Amino acid sequence: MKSSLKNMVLMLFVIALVCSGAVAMVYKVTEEPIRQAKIKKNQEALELVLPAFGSLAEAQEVGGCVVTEALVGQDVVGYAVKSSSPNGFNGAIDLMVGFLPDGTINNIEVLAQAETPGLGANMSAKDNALIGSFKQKDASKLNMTVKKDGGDVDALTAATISSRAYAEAVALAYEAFKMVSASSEEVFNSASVMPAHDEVFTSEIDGAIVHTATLEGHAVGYGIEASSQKGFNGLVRLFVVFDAEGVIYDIVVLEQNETPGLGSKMCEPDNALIKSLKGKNLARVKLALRSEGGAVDAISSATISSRAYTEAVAEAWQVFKKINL
Amino acid sequence: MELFAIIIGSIFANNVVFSQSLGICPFLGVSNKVGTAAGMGAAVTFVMAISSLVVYLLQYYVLVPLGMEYMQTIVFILVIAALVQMVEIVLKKISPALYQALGIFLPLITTNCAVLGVALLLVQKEYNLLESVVYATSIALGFALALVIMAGLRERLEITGVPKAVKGVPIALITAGILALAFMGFSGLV
Amino acid sequence: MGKNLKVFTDGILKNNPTFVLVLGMCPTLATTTSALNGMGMGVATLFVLVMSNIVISLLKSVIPDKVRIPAYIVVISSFVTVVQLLMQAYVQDLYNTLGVFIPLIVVNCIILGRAEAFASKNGVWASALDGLGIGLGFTLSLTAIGIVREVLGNGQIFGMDIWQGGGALVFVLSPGAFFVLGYLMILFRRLTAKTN
Repeated sequence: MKSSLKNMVLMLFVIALVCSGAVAMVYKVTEEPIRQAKIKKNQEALELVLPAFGSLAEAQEVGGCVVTEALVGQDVVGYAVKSSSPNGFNGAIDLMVGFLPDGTINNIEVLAQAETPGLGANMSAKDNALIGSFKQKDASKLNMTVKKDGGDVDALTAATISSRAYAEAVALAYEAFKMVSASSEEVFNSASVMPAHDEVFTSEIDGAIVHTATLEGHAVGYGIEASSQKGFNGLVRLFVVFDAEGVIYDIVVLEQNETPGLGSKMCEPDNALIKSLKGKNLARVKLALRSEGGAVDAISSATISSRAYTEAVAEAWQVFKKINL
Repeated sequence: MELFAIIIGSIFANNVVFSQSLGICPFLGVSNKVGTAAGMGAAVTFVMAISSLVVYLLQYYVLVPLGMEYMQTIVFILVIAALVQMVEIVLKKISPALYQALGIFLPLITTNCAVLGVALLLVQKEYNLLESVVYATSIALGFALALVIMAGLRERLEITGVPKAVKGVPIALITAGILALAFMGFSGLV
Repeated sequence: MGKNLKVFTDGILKNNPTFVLVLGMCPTLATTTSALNGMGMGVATLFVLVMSNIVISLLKSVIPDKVRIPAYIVVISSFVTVVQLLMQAYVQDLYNTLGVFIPLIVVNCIILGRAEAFASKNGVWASALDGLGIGLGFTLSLTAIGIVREVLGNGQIFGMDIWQGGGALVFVLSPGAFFVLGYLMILFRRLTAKTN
C-alpha cells in the first residue's frame, strides 16, 4: 500500500486498536482461570504449611504480607504468612511460611520462583538445605541471614543470592507473624492471673477497665488496666492484679514497644521490676525507682522504660484506692 | 551503599551477557572489531538510560493507575522502538561516521532483548526511579564491557587457524563460555 | 504442495534458526537449563511465530511500507501478551520459571525476521507452514540443548534421574550454555556438511 501520511497513521492506529482490543478480550477471558490457578496454588500451600486445622480465618494484609490464621474451633493453631522477596537471581521469590502460635516455623512452601534449575530452583525441592535451616525451629532464636553473612541459614550450594532472598522472605514473614500474634495476645485471659475465684466480672471505674474476681460473693482480687505514655518508644500498658488488701498479686504487660533486650525485659517473668513489686502492699512502699528514692528496682540500662512501668502501676493503685474507699 | 551494590552487581557479577544471557545477538554480531563494539556499547548505554527513565514513568504513572499492567510488553516495546528511531535520527545528524559503522545494527537495538529485558526487570525488582536508571546504566556498561572484551579476543581469533566447522559463531560461543566462567568469579563480590 | 513441504522442512534443517541462522540466541542460552524449560520456550515461540506469520501475511497488502516494522511489532507483541496470559492461567509453574523470557519473545529476532523475510512476501498457507517449520526447528534445537545441559549438569532428563549424584553444575550455569551451544553447532555443521 502507498505510504502516504494519512495511510500510515490510519493503518497503525487501526492495527494498534484491533490488537489491544484482542488482548483486552483475552485478558478478560483468562482473568478468572489465572485467579483460580493462584487460589488453588495458595490453598495447596496453606494445607502444606499449617498443622491440621478445622477452618481458616479471613486473610489479612500485615506489613506487606498476607496472613491467614488456621483455627480449630475458636483456637488459633497456626498462622500461614505469604511473603515475597524481589531479590532472587531471576526476580521475585514468593513463599508461604507456616508458624505455630509459639513462633515455631512449621513448614515453608515456595509459591513462585524462577531460579536456575539445579541451583537456586532447589529451594522448591524436598528436604533442601534452606528448609532444613528453618523447619521446626523457633523463629525467635534464628538469625535469618545465610551463614556467609553471619547468620544461621545454610545456603543452597552455589546459590547464595537465591538463598539470601529466601531467608529475606522468611524474615519478612516472621515480622508479619509477630505483629498478628501480638495483637491477638491482647485478648488474654485475665482469670488466669487472678487469685483463686469462682467468678470474674468486668466494670469501668473512672475510665479504667477493672476485672473483679469474687469467691462466694466476696471480692478476692482486682485486675486493673493502666498505662503510661512515657515508655522509651511510647505506650506501656499493664494489667495490675491486687488482692483485696491492696497487695500486688501479679503484673502482666499487655502492650509495649521498648528496645528488645533492654526495656522489653519487662515482659519476662521474674524481672527486676516485678520482683520488687510482687507481694508488696503499695500503701507501705514508695512507688518510685530506687535511684529516685523509691522501692522499685529498675531493669538495668532501661531507666526510662522502668519509670514508665512504675508510673502505670501507680495509676492502677489510684484506681484501686477509689474502689476500696 | 545500596546503589553501589547495584552498580557492581550489574556490571560484573550479574553481567547481562555472561550471566543473564541477554543481548546475545548483538554480542555475537557486532563484536568483530573493538571500535564498532565500543560504538555499539555507547549507543546501547544511551538508549538504556533513557528508556529506563521513560519506562519507569510509564509503568507507575500510566499503566498501574489504569490497572493495565498486562499491556506492559506491548507498551514498552513500542516506546523503546520509538526511542531507538530518535537516537538513529540524532546520530545521523551528529556523527555520520559512527552511524555508518553501526549500520544495520542500530535499528536492531530495538530487538536487543537486553533493552526490553532491563525494562521488564526493573519493574519486577521494584526499583525506585534513581535505582532504575542506575541499574539500567550499569547493565548497559556491563554489556559494553562484554562487547569490547569479546571484540579484542575475536580480532586475535581472526588470524589464527581454526577448523572450518568451528570458524565464526561456534568458536565465538566457546570463547564466550570461557569468559562467562571467568565472570562467575565476580559472584563472590556481592 | 511439494514446494510448501520444502518450506516446512527447510525451517527445521536448512534454515534451522538456532544452528544455521544463529537467531534468537538469548532464549536459546537462557531457558535451556533443562529439557522441559527449553521445550516450553520453544512451543511458546512456535505459537507466536505461526500466529504472527499468518496475520502479517494477511495484512501485507494493507500495511503501508514505511510503517511495516512498527505494525509487525504491534502484532507480535499482542500475540506474546496472549501467550503470557494463557501460560499464567494454565501452566503457571512453567511461566514462573521462564520469567522475563516470555515477554522477551517479542524481541526474538526469528519472529520479526520471518515476518520481514517471508510472511510479508508469501501467502497465508505458505507463511503458516514457514512459521511451523522454523518454530519446530527452534523447539527441537532448544529441547536438544536442554537435554544435553540437564544430563551433564544434573544427571537428569525431563526431571527423571539417569544416575545418582547430579553432574557438573557448570553446564546448568551460563558458561555451560555457551559451551553446549557452541559444540552442538559444530556437530550440526559437520553432520549437515556430510549429507550435502
